[in-house]
Amino acid sequence: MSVAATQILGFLERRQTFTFERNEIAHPEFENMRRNLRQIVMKFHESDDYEAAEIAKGVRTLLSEWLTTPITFDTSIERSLTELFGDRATISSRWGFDIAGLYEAARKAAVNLATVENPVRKKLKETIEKVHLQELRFKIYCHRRAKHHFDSLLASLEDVPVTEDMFLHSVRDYRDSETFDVLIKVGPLRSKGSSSAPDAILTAPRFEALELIVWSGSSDEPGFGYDPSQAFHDDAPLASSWAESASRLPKWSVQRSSTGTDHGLGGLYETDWDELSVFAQKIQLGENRAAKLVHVDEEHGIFYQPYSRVLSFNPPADSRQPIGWRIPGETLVEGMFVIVPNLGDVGLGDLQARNGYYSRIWKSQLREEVISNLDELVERLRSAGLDLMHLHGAIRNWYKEPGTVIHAPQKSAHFEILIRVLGVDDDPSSSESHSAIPWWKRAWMEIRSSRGEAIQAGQLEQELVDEQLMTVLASLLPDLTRLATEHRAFELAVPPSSGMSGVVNFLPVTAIEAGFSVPDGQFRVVQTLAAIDQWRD
Amino acid sequence: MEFSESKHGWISLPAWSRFLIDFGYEWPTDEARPRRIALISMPCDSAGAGLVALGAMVRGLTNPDANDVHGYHEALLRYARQYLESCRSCEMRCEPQEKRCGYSEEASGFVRYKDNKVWEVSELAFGSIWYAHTFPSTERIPVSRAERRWLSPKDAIDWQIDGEAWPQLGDESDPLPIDAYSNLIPTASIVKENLRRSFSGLCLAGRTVGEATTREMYSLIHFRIGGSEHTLTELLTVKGWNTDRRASRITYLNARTETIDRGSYPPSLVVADGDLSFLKVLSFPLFQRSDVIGVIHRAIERDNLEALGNRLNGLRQWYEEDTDLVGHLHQVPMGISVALLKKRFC
Repeated sequence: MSVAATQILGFLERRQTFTFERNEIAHPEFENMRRNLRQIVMKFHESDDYEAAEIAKGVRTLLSEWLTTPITFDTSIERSLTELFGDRATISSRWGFDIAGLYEAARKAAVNLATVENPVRKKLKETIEKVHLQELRFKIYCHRRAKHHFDSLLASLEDVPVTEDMFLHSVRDYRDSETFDVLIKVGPLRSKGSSSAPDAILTAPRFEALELIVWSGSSDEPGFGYDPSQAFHDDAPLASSWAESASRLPKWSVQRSSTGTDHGLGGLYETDWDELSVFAQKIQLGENRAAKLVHVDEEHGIFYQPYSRVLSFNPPADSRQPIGWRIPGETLVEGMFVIVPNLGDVGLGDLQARNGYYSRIWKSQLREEVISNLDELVERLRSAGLDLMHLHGAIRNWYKEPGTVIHAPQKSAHFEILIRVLGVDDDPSSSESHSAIPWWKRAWMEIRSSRGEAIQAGQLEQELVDEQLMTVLASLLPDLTRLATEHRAFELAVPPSSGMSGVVNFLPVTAIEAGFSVPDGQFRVVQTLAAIDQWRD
Repeated sequence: MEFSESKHGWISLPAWSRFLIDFGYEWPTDEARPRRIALISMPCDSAGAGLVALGAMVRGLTNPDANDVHGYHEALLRYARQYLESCRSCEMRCEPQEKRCGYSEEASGFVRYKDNKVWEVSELAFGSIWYAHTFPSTERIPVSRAERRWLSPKDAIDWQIDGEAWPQLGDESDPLPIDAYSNLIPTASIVKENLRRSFSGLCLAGRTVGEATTREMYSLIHFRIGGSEHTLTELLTVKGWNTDRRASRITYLNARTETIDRGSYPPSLVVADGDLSFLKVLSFPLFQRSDVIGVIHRAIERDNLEALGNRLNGLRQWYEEDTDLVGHLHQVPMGISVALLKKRFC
């Protein structure tokens, strides 16, 4: 429920001027690591090599996290780099001495960083202690996945009570927030990406002071604090009497402070150093499309194109149209369910309806191999061509029991290698053992189906299926309402009398986020948040 | 007069509410005016659009010509013509955009007499409406030509177009509460006859999330005037929002389904609640000549903010900033930002 408008407008009227403290932090080793990694990204970005592009994406994701969260400086930084680049001995032969040199310099800097305290973390700690001592009410704005970095820091502070509503993760969280004293944020003010925050932070503050802690060179996005009512008179300066009389937006008193030494910046323009800006520009040049992310649990989300219509379920008893098409972030909001049909008998026989049949077989084999010798399995997969970074972690994820989705590799080529290495083949007892379709393909179809990919061919057919499905679901409303009470994912078998077969998955909407550019083929598919991060703007 | 956003904690009317009500009340209504578009940007979610619409509605109550009584026979004729020439034989139920028939809503052909009996339009001849008897339900029965009757223009206001508000209620029904409206705008000279007459020249476009949410938001706003309390929902008089039988001085566009509760003629002013509703209204064929006031809040995603900004920028070649109207604005409360555009004279 939103806060009363009188409270917010009264708060703004009383304050009028707000304080923005921008704390810039520098550290020579961190800058050294950034500089080398950034150069690798720029070189790899121009490459048409798939593996180089994947590494560039990985570096971008790591740097984005390190620049916008209070990470602990420890051996995990170097470990992330070595896992990403693979065997040190092969880097120079694979990528040349230039890249090998940059990588080695970055890695050494990462090793050195493990011996010092992250100055961003130190500054954040001081800031929280200061506001706590002054008995001010504060909140932290951060990305949902960055929260654990703040949790670990808060746990080390005595007497600071930690509550869930201390964190704001989305525009909606901000919109529902009461007024408070201080907002703390790590990372620059940007509208998209890992450091994103609502423009309303500047145009509609619900706090008196903003404490921003940023790494040196990370600039705030020009135009952040966008208000559409100002769009028409861009050419009329705000200071003019006309604009002044029609707009009374809050005024900010900005104070800047710097901590640490700027060793690395000599001779370069500041913008050259702003990785977040540079990465955002590079992504925009691609052929990806804007997307909204609907989170369906702590680890998974689904991309939809803005303004696309999503089949969804609104459980409250007084809902006029419980099953219907809704727009993510507008009419589809938290508390509702996304409906992901997993139907058989719509063009592919009963192949799809048997969700979980194939996964049980290959996951059981995978589990045995992991228990017997994980390292050996990793080596066999790598030699067979499965060259994923973090392969150990990925395998542990793949053999998890099917939940919201069947956990499996994201790409069919990788899945094919996995099945080949595992040596899984037809079950002689199965009626489909002599199918013309290879076993791995049938298993892959089951995975795709669990991720919600529409396999039914043709738009018209799909519409007919959807219409029929809505009718069927409307007749099951009492069951749906009962199953939705705990707001957890559930599935419902389609009654055979409906003329359809299979199951329909209901995935709870836990959050909705904008600021992604996603290639075709990645929409309407359940994905892990780890995979999703690569498409942040 | 006292104000509350929760039926508790009564306060005197806050500056932001006063500003929005006045904004609606003072919106130019003269016939020769250029088309105007306004965007009011609020710092938080609110019932702001409802308050602007309320102010505009009070302004309408002061205008003796602002009612559906004058010209109601013409409205009946338009309705009958649409039904007989288009809707009766239409194979699509009801997709005006797809059909490109030029209408925004289906005309069912039913008209209700003041005794509550329902009749069906059967023929239009020489500018006169003929109707045939049907049973008091929506059941259609075949009628012979001999059973048809003529709808006299002088009795036009005794009829109600199916699904729409009565153009004028009789003395037996309650008028709208004049004290409430005159307390909101003490300088308003309300025409008493208008308190029993409906008006379709003002439209409220609700939130895209749905009518129920819009109504729920407005029902939180309470006014206490003397000994009586009124909700914003009640004062707006949208047809179907209140149980009592009163005149409806405002039409409602459901921005989710893109349907309007009555479509006699294009309104002169549309007040849109929310960013998506505002964008829809600007593209809605029926409102191409109507003034539009959008009330949005800024705590939304950047993409949505930019969609609004781009839309306003796209109007540059035909519109200019309305500096005259800005000059007449009362002190804008802190946190509120207004863009005011008027169409250039060509």
